Amino acid sequence: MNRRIERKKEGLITSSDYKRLSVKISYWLIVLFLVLCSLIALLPIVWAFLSGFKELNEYYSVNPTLLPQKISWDKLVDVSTKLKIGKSFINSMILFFGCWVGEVIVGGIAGYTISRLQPKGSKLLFTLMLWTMMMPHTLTMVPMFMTWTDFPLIHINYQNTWIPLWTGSMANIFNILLFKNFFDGIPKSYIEAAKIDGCSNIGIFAKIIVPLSVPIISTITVFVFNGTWNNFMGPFLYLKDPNMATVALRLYNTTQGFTEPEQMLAAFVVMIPSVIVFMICSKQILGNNMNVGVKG
Amino acid sequence: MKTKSNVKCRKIGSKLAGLKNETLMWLLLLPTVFTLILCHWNPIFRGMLTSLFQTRGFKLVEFVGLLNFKNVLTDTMFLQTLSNTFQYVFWSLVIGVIPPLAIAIAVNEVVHFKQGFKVLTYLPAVAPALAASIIWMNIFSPSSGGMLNIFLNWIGLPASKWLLNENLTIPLIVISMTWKGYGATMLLYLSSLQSVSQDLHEAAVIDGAGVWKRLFKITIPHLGPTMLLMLVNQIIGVFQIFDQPLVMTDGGPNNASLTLGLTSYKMAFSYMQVDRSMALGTVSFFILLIATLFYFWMQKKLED
Amino acid sequence: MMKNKFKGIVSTVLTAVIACSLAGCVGTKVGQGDGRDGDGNLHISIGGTPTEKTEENAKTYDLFMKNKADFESANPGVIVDADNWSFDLKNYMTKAEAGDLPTMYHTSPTEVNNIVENGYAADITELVKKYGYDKMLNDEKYGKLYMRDGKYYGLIKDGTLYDMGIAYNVDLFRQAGLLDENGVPKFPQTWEELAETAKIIKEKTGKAGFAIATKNNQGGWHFMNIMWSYGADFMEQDKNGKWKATFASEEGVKALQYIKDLKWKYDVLQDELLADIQVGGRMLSTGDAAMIITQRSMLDTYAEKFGLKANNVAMSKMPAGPAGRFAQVGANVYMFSGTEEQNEMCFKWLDMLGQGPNVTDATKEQWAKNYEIKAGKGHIVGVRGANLWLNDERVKAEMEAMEPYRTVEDKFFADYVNGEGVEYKFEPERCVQQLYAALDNAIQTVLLDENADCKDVLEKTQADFQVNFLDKEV
Repeated sequence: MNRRIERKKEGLITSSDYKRLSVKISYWLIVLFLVLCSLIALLPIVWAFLSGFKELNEYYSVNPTLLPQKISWDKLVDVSTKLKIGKSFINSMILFFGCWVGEVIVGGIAGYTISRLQPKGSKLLFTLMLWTMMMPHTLTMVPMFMTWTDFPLIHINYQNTWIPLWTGSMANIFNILLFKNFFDGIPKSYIEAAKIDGCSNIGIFAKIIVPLSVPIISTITVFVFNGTWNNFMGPFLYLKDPNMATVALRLYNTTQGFTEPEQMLAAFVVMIPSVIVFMICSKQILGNNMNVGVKG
Repeated sequence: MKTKSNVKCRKIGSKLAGLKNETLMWLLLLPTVFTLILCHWNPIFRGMLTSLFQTRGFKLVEFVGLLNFKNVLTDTMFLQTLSNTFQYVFWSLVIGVIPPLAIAIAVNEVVHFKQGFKVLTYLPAVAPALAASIIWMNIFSPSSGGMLNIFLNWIGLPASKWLLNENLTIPLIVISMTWKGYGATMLLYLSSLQSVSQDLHEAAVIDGAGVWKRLFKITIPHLGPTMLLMLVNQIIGVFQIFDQPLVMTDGGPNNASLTLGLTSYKMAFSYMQVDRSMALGTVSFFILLIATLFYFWMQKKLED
Repeated sequence: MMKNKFKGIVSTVLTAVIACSLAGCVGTKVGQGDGRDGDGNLHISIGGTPTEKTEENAKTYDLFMKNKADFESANPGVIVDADNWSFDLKNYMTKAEAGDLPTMYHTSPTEVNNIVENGYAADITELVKKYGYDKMLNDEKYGKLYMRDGKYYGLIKDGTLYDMGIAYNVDLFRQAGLLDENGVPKFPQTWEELAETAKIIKEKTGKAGFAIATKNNQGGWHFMNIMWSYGADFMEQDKNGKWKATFASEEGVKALQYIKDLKWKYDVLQDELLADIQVGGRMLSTGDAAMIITQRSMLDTYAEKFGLKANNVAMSKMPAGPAGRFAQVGANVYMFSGTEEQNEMCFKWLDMLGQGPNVTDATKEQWAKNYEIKAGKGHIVGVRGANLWLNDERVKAEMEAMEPYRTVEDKFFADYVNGEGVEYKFEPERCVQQLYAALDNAIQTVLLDENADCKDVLEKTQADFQVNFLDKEV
């Protein structure tokens, strides 16, 4: 076990610190802290699972129990069918990919342009963007809806298309800001060295910037995933076709008629596909490949 | 002579190329600028314009000047709602700032089961917000079947009112939001932590700096800009909160969890008073401007 | 050079994508609005109809599809579309603005003012006269529910009104020994009696005697009935047309004190004090509460959702207060959003469904099918609410059609149905939702704080309501 610590290369506590007893104890306290945090993170999910299987009278019993009397998988299947979990998951993914293109590619290029290429006026644009970031949704929700249902000049109603939701993602200022900050942090010496080696701008972008950006891209990808997963108001306003309903929207529409145990089970069920996707991609998203950057 | 004119030519050429370059660069920014205008400036302009009119549905009927603002600001609930909103922000600062930071630093530190901890602590973030609200509503349920009340029952304490307690309802809603939201922030801190130069630590070790000293002298300053950004982002986000209280308490008990955002939302959608809703939105907008000013001021300070 | 090319390509592609998508490769053109498609077919859409077949709604879906086919063959060139949207304040406005409402949908009378005032409701006066509803409806009594300024804007769904009463869990009353010789719960005759009854139930069974709603504006809505029976009124219009709130009267305070006593003196309420009507319905269904305030049609919802047993439920009229017995009366109101032509088709559709004023063999058949489905879902079949129709023949015919599918015994509902001595009232005139929200808060305050003074609370509620809403009425 300790061998792993000796090989530890990152973070505050170095292998030399670890020789001291107090640090040793602190280290294991940190591990304990993380165990506790993981439990707190998991507990509500487990609770949703357990109470979702309870019968109504069991759920509201005066002497409630933690465990349900019976875990019947039929209930799980039933709730999943009602939620049309497969279809709504695919819809959520469509939403996700569109938004991903908008937020990562368009946003990333914008962040890069503002940070590195700096055309005249881009500073002003950036300042304006920062100011814009503070806008309250409640002020913009209704006017935005009016815009999308009767687009100025061309009078087209974009309801039931992904356009309003995808387009909105392109102007995610927070992400552009993150990209810009990240690109700002890449030392100039990298780029200059590459220039001396005879790299063109596009070569620099493709060979140096993009590989360096893996951590920020994966972080923002996760944000996009969360954002699309949470977005209820958008699909609620713009996607009236039931065949386009995303997971969040299905959850809302379906749980209206659900009892509370069913709601809990539904809340659990909608987590399953995203957890699976997350597990598969966790190596890429959270993996150890972030050890890139300043040091080289 | 020949060389001289050549140089001149080249200069003009590069200037032209520069101009062309400039245009091309702006072309790269075009989609962003376009959406910025369409999805940000356009609605805020329309929203503010609407706040000066009397509306019928979403249509503007008659210019009424500041009447809507007068109506909104003289509302007897306005001050309480504003104070509630600030309470959300306050509690989110108390409850929500430390966990992502502490967990990110801890995860970065451990070598045992590192990937596992990352995945587990991030898990709540993949739950849809609505699902999270449903689950936490049950956990905080004042009935005997609520999860926390079951625990209280176990250790022999009487059941608590939880969300029904006017003093607890805001902190409890903030706890549920923190559970759902800290993962994303943690991830950002993590990726920032990974770019801390290990040389700095090694140099500090040689200078005899202890772990704590290094934490405050190297790690935290390195995270500074990200922390500031996340802080401002959080303040802005929490200031606008409306969906969690809408789902979990509907603003109750006795308006104790009502926020500006929720009031504005209800005006527009439940009471069909778009004009007043937009006026309240404009008021929130100006309050948020102050937060923005604060951000720029702090950023400047940090840079100095 | 290469970099420029690259950038050029990227930006051209992006611009092209945006331009193309915005220029109408997708989306629909706004503002034709005559309801006809490319082939000249007239479309009507009916709110609250199933768009997809599932296990639960299979029968409803099949019936709708059959009706659709019948209707379309009887009216060539007309297409009936299903629309599973039913009234939801959260997106009503946006749908209305986007021209996206079903041609016909139903809502509660509370919303009629807003819908008419915001210009979303079609005037159907001509059609009402043409299809003979005006001769069947009791406008004098109930016109307030669907008429404004002498014009018709709505029709009452199923011709059925709902009126408030008390619903009982018979089983809990049996356990508490509170059934009479016929096996019917002993209905409390006054609000005080109701509190005493609830106390007995709580003592004998440990279950909540009475479950009340306190949030989502539903607390105020139900509480209004109690306020009336204590003699309070809500608002009045002065000579200048200004509205004044009047509910913080002595009588109003007594009514609020009654609610407070339910918690602090009798202690008969549910634990889950922040509750909407679903909580009461659920508790009644699972035998965790013995009494709730409700209207008959809600019981159907509870049967579907919480498994309420139709044979285990009884209803009585509202108990009396010092001022008498009062019950709020409302209905589901059909409203229309289409062109005159579309709306007329909806009237024909209603006629075919047997919801119109006339009785034919076809409508009898429709009724039978409907009640069969309702019985299958465990709904309350066998009693009708208060009657809107002046046409006795139609009422009798419908009762006959439902008889074979009866799920409840008459004795459990007789008291509620005859409603003797009950004065039926409508909701107040202005800012109804806001009034309910304000009353919700008053209720929550006195239920959560034993030391709250009912007079202070109600006076503050009234003052706030006056300043925040009534004074700002345009």
